[in-house]
Amino acid sequence: MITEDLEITYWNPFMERLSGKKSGETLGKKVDQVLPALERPFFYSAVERLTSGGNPVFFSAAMHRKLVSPDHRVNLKMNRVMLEGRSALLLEFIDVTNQFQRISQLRDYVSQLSHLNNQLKQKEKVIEKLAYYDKLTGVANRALFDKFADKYLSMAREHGTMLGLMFVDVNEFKLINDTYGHNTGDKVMTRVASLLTESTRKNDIVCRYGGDEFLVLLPDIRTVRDYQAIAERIEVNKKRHIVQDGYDIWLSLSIGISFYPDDGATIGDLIEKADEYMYFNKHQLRAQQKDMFSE
Amino acid sequence: MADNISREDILTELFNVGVGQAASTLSDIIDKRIGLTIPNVRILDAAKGKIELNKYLLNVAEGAVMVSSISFDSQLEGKVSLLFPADKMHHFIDLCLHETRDEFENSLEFTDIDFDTIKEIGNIVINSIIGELSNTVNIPVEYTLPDIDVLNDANAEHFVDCEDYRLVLMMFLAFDIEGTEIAGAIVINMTLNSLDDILNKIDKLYNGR
Repeated sequence: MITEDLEITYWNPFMERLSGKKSGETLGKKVDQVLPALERPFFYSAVERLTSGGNPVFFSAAMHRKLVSPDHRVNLKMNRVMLEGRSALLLEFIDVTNQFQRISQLRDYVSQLSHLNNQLKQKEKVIEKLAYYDKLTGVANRALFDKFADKYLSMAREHGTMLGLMFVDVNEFKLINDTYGHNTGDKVMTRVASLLTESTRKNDIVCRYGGDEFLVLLPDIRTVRDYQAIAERIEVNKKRHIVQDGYDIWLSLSIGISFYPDDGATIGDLIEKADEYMYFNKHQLRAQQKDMFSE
Repeated sequence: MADNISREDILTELFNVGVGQAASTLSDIIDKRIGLTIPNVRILDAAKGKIELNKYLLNVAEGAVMVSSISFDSQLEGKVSLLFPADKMHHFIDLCLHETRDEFENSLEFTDIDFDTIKEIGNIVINSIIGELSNTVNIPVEYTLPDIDVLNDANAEHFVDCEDYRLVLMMFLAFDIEGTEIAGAIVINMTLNSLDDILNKIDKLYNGR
């Protein structure tokens, strides 16, 4: 309790504990001398407002860290009261240190939970990667291909667009493996996957179908030109020398493509047709090679 | 007798003096440069007040607000609500407390510490507005500390009471903490008699009637 000119008239045992100052040491002294944190313009202006208007004032422990002592967090409520016919100011310090500790603990728990949650999400991504992507090449596996194939086929039906399905086979892959070893063969397979991914569009799905075979889903084909743009990019890389592990390797791809709705109404039909066209392409390439050697 | 526009201008000036003092007090407390301005005050009937307030709630606060409100009585009677967009409040509180919190904490959940911080700010701002008004027109006003609440789906009905011929003083509050701006709103919902008393006093003060 203080007078309007800040003189302390009552200092209860709670304040003694909080401040470490005995009542005898404080009575008659100015409150801003006993509690130097109050020696600030905001406090004087609050006292002035309270004295003249009588409406309560509140200072929070969060905004005023060391109001009474460095060890305690306190809220301060100030009210004007009448005491023996004279007006006095009641300064009510409320210890909220426990509240701060509890919230700090909760924040730590939330932080830990968030950290665990992030780890879990990372693991989920890894699991998803394992479930839907080919371990060797990083492109889609058959599970992901099936998922997208159904989706893209429905979209093509709904929008009246074409769905392209490309069947790609690496020619003489067995020979590459036998000649340069499986390790190099695996790397060649990864390069083929990258080549196909780089040559296709963002929404196209490149899938390792098995062994040395890839499938590529080409959704939303509206004109032959849409397909040609992709085909031209693949054509450039279809037959070329690559250097892998120091070996100069001749890479050649056989490609067949089928389109919904012209070549079939189901994904099974489209794969079968594209496979057929791919074999036709393979025979053509072999015939060309024979001609080249015979010349 | 002054017309409505000049009365609104006088109230705008009066409240800006008040929030200027509030800004200076807050700057002293948090040790940062703070700007507080009220671009204009509008006196509206309850129906129009609700329309204007709903615009703010929808466009600025997206329906979720942190509200600091007090009811006042004595010679003047009514309720003042200081509204802030809830989604900006974590950042706002952090600026006041010189803290930064992790991204995952930026929800619409608030702790008792957050509430106490806004209670202090609300107390200072509302005190400055009502205090300045009360001093100028020399009409005593009595009120308690503000109640703090977070309303996730707020609409004007929460703040504007149509009964007892109540009117609305509606103003926006531009809060600027070292370049970070937060658009608050202040709604004073008071009885017609109370507002008449204020406006009559203002007329007397400024027009000598």
